[in-house]
Amino acid sequence: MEDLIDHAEQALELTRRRGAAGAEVYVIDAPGDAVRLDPSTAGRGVVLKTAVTIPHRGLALTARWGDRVGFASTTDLSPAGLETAVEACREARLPEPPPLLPLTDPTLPAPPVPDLVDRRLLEMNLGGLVDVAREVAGEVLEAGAGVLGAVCLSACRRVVVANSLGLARSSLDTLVTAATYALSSGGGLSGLSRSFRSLDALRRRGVGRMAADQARLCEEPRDVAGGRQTVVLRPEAVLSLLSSSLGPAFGADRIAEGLSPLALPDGTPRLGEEIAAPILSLTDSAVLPGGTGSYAFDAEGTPGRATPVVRHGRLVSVLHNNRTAAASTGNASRERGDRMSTFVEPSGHFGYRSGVLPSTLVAEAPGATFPGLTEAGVDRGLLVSDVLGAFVIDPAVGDFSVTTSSAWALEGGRPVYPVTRAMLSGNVYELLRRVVGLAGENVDVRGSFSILTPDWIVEDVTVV
Amino acid sequence: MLMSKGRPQDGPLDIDGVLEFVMARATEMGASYADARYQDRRLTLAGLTSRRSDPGAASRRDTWEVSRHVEKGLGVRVIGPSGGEGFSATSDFSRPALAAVVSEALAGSMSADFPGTSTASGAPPSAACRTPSRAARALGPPVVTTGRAVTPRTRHPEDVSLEEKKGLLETFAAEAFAIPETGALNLAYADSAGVDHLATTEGTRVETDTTRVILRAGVQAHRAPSSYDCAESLGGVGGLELLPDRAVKELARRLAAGAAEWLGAAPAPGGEMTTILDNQAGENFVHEAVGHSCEADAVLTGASVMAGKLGVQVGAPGVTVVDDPGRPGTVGLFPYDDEGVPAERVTLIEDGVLRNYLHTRRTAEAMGASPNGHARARDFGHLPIVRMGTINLEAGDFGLEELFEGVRDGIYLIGKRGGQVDPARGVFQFRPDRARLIRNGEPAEPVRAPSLSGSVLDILQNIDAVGDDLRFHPGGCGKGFPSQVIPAGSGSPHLRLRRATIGGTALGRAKVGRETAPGRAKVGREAAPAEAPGAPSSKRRRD
Repeated sequence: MEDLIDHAEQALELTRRRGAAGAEVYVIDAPGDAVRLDPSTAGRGVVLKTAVTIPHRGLALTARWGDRVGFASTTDLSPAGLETAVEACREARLPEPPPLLPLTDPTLPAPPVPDLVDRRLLEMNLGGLVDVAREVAGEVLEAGAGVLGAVCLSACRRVVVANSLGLARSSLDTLVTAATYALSSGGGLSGLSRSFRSLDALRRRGVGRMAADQARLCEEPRDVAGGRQTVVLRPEAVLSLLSSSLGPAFGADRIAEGLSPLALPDGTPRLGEEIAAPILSLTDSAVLPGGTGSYAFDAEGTPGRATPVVRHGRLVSVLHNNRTAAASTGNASRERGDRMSTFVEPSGHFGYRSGVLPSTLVAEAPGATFPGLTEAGVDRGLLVSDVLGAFVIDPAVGDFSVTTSSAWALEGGRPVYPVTRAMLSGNVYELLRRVVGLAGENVDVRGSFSILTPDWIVEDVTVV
Repeated sequence: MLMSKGRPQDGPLDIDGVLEFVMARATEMGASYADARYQDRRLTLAGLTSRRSDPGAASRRDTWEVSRHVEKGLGVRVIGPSGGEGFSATSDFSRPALAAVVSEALAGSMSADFPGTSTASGAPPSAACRTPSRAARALGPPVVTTGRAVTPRTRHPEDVSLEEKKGLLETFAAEAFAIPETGALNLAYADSAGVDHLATTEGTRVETDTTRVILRAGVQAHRAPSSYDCAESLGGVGGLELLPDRAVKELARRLAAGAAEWLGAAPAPGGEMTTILDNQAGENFVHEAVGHSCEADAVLTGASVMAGKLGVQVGAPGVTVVDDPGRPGTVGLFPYDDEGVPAERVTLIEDGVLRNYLHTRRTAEAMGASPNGHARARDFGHLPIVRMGTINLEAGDFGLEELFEGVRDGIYLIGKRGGQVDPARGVFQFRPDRARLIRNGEPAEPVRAPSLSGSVLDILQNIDAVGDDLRFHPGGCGKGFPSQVIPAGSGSPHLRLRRATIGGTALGRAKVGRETAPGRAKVGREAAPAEAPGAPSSKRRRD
């Protein structure tokens, strides 16, 4: 970690020498190993096609000269590269309204969150990851299905945030992701991707087995009748629908810009207003032990914490970074989120100035959470595992029109047949008001932020 | 062909030195093949979000964000002795770091198996197809390319001041806010400039000097309680000449007027209906439905509905789709791909018949085909995979008014927001920016934009008229695991689909259709419904 701290301190020193009145540096080194298995051409098994190491290393610099703030990033951490970055930051400086580059107080404690590091993942080489991928593919094969592809990714992420107030914070975490595409003997196809903080968690979940089971349930699909129906959204489908809508909409930056439906015309949040069904509560939590969205501190060095955002359907709080509030909620994020993309942006988290995003949205429905769909009294409806096309939802409006990737008709609370292809249409913010219950186990799903939730039971959704 | 020459034995390596060091090291360590991609790109981004202080007020609240970025590094790919493929990358050009990156790539190649070969049709291969010389066969016959290419531009982005670039966004904002309903804007300008170098142990030395400029604009109209947003991009591979003031102003007016007109629009109907796609909706469809399904990596693993269908009629007669990375001005222009193969114009579908796939060297060899220059990597830190350059559906000869003729009841999809495809299941979907109902052969009232979803093969067969107005627009594409997002161009004329599934929220309009005479499913002009009722309108919007 010392090397990253050295880079951060060098960059801070260079900005000081160039006359900056304050600066913040974010350095990340998160090399990822990735392996890909393809179906064997000789038989039923798989072969390893590619094993790669992907660097994700760079530095982001935000600095203030007078009433102007600049931002730059670089992958070149050599002394000359840092000089170039500081100069680029100075060139890019613009006048900003106050508060000018508010910085995290270094005295704020940021205790580590438990279970974010798996020592075995830290020590694992590419060969080890190949073995993990083979295990996942093996689960598919053991369950009697074929493997159309399996990918495993393992990343060890080191982050340093430092600022000119004397903050110098470092963290280390691990993440392993397994994704596979299973083809059942009866022609059912299903893909599944899940991320975990540890190998044990990955093995407990059995991603390959789940994909194979789901593929078998996709055999002989039938058309579904259109109309307004009760729809059960699996956690992946919930995250897909909320990723480009409600998640960013909780950000005080989007609210101030008038680009969130949670904003009043004056750019303040609609606190106290009912934005979801009264049974639904949502808490953003960066401190869940082992959570895929957890962190000790955010992209500005502010400690992570739990922030209730929706209580019994009412908006009770929104999320902040240092720029949007004197007391940040620790939600500064360098994910692209819903930022306008030109497809020419730099890759890597260090390429974005910090915005505001949830860490992990935890869904709860006290009194309306059931072990399963039968207990929840869901008689007929549509069970949806995930959807295509949700990323184009505009957070300011929330209209969606998406296609199911895997879906089943429900009768008596059980899936009775797979559905060929269905479209769900509506508005995310209206959908939130139609949630009548949660069912099943909590699942942690990761995207640009994470969500921890059971299935959502939503009434009166348009199915085409 | 590389520019830097001469270096001391122990001093810092110049570009030539870095590439030579890596090639020599990989060969010494037993690699049967290695390539090194050196990238030094500089990017400038400018963003403006702006909202009107109060509805109807002249004053606005602007938030600017400007940033500069350096992406400099080296990606090394190695084919090991057994034919496995490994990759690693670094931004540290010291000798020890370069040696380490070669070792990491080689270690990856050692752990990877060679996946064997397939047949040219994409059908699963027999064991007899495999050859004993695995390493030599992994990438096929050697490719040796030397050259230096400079992509066309007249105003290099690095010769234009930051103030002028910000001025483009100011110009857009002034035009857009001139329309009273405009409530907020979200604008992003980006340019990149730099030289990519590629060297291989086969002797390829390629240098490509590329500049790109893009303006992405989103406009939100607001009139309580309704709001509507429209978005579009301008730009491509080139310089600031691609973003002239008049084009920026015209885009601002069009998006702002569009968003305002769609305020309060009713929900779109849902169900199957005759659908007309404008240029941008058409290109979104072609990219998602045809382009991704014709990428040979998906075909090879059986994860594409186009697998095994070379020579098969997969679309309506008259449907021809090509991918041309040489198309001037488009954002997907590149002279050489990231394996050093000269980028080729590839006809994927010709008159409805599947003719070819997009290939890297590896997929071409595995399928007994020739590489066609479609290996692209996001940046030096990613492995090249099969990607599109600029894909388009070729123009037919239907005039715009003829396309609408005879459509008694249908929907017109305008613009593009993005789409997604599941090539293995052959299911795709995309969302336009706006939509209008079609009544009695004319575009009618606006409706909120629904998505179109379909089976790739069904929809290709359902194209029954292709317009004569081919146009291109910039866009982007994410693919791979981890995802590699790259700029990709696409183009299309207006298209008419006899039947498509529309995901609107207003139910009860399913199975509406066009009045078609039997046997008129062809796309050529000769198949036009000369007897179709209704006079076409000349007042429809062009987006």
